[in-house]
Amino acid sequence: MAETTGIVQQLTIVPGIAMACIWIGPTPTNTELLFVLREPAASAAEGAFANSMVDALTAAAVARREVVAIHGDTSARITALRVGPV
Amino acid sequence: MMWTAGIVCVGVGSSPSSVEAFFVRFSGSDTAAELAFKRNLVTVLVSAQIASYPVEVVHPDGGGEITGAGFGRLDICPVGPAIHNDFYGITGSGIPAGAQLVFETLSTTVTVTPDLVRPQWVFVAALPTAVPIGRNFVRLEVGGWVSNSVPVDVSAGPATVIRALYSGAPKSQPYTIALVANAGIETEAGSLVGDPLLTNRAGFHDAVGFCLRSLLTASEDVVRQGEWDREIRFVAIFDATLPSDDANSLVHELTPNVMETRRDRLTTFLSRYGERADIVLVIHASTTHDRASAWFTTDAAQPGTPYSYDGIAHVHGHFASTPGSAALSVNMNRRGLTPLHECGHAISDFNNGRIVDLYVDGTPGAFVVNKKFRAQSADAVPPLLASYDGTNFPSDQQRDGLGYPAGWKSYHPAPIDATRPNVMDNYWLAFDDPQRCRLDLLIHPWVRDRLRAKLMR
Repeated sequence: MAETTGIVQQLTIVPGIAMACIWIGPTPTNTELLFVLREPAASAAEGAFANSMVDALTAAAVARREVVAIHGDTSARITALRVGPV
Repeated sequence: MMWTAGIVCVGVGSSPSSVEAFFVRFSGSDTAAELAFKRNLVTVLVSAQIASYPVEVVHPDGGGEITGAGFGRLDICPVGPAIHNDFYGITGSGIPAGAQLVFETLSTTVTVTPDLVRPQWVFVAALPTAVPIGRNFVRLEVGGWVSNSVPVDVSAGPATVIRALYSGAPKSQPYTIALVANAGIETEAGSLVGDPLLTNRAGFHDAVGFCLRSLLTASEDVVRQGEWDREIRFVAIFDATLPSDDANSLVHELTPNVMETRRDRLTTFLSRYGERADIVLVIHASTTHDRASAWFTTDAAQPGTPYSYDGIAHVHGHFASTPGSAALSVNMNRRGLTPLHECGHAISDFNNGRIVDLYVDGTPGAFVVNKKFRAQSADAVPPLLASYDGTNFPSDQQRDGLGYPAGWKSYHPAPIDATRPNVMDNYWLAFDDPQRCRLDLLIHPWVRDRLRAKLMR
């Protein structure tokens, strides 16, 4: 698994495709584009988990808190998340 | 914003008197996933309103139903919370030299001169208490250049224990330099005593600011050239709660006045804070052992980038098994280049190339990149020092103007600036300002290649 660390510079939510796009990096122009996706076949628990990560990313973006997004080595889909004390 | 009958109404505009109405509809025909993301979307809009952030909403031409939304784009980014007397930073791109931070409330404007300005980062070692507590709007400006204004909530404290000053490349394990406040000292006698630095947070902040200026603004550009520092992560740790036990005592005394890191403690120490570093600068407040020293990195065996030195194969390791490190006094002389000089040692490697002091003669032994030895001190200095990756590098016939003492057998690479001492030599003897000293023609590209190998890992 890979980890991408940085500030949430941009966050866009598109309910129609059940996805949130998140740009993470040190500056507004030095970012990595990742996403949170809720699969149509996801269970209620899996879906709620994905949406709770979106809430956490939203809070981190507003507070300018650093996040660590965990995703596959060749995938931009966030599967886990850490938000540290700062 | 207003919630009514399954619809959230949102007024978006530049002021309360200039808004356009949009809405988010929670419909019985929506899937569970759509409903959940609509709830996320509303959370974004609420968060933006409370925090005074701009938003961007997506809607059909001629329609008011929001189909997507996010935070509006800003050209600067405050890093972490704004806390009095804590570190503070703002990132961006193309930030001009001389940029200042301007904090504004309805009644007050406070201008803060940063300790460091780089094109991608403005750094303040301690946020002044003159900045009003509560909601401010902060911008950067210099001359006619002005950034966006960004809302920030300023608080009186407490200051943070660990702080990412600049988060570095957005990828796994970015190259990281950690600046750590030391908690305990192993004395020459072998006992552990508390480091008075933990009662001097202001001193730690000032020392961190000096270290960053030394690395990134001195005439020697080995770290910042090409703005490579925008890929480097900088982290500071000041944990006043730590006892001076074996795990937290990161330095030890050497007679008569040298402080040295306990390098084998560093990785475990940092891991407790979720960090992993390539170089650790340990700040301490000993008044008896205030002379700085450094340890080379020990690179992990794999992976690495090969290079040749005098035709022999070596490797720049991509990761450190033990980070390079330096012990620095909180009271180090701010006129000098101590952090940059010690980082010169720390960035080199025990097994694949050491960078050593040039102000002592030394003896042959381990593989040293920046020094060789003549058979006799009376022998002439050879014209070439070494071949690095197939290119020949000349030696320094004059020892950067200082002259080789008669009994010395060692000799060095030719300097970049022949009028001033090498950064790895006695830079205090510079005729004008030690801050203007440079490295040499060999070490500069060697360090750059080594840094590139690690940045690109």
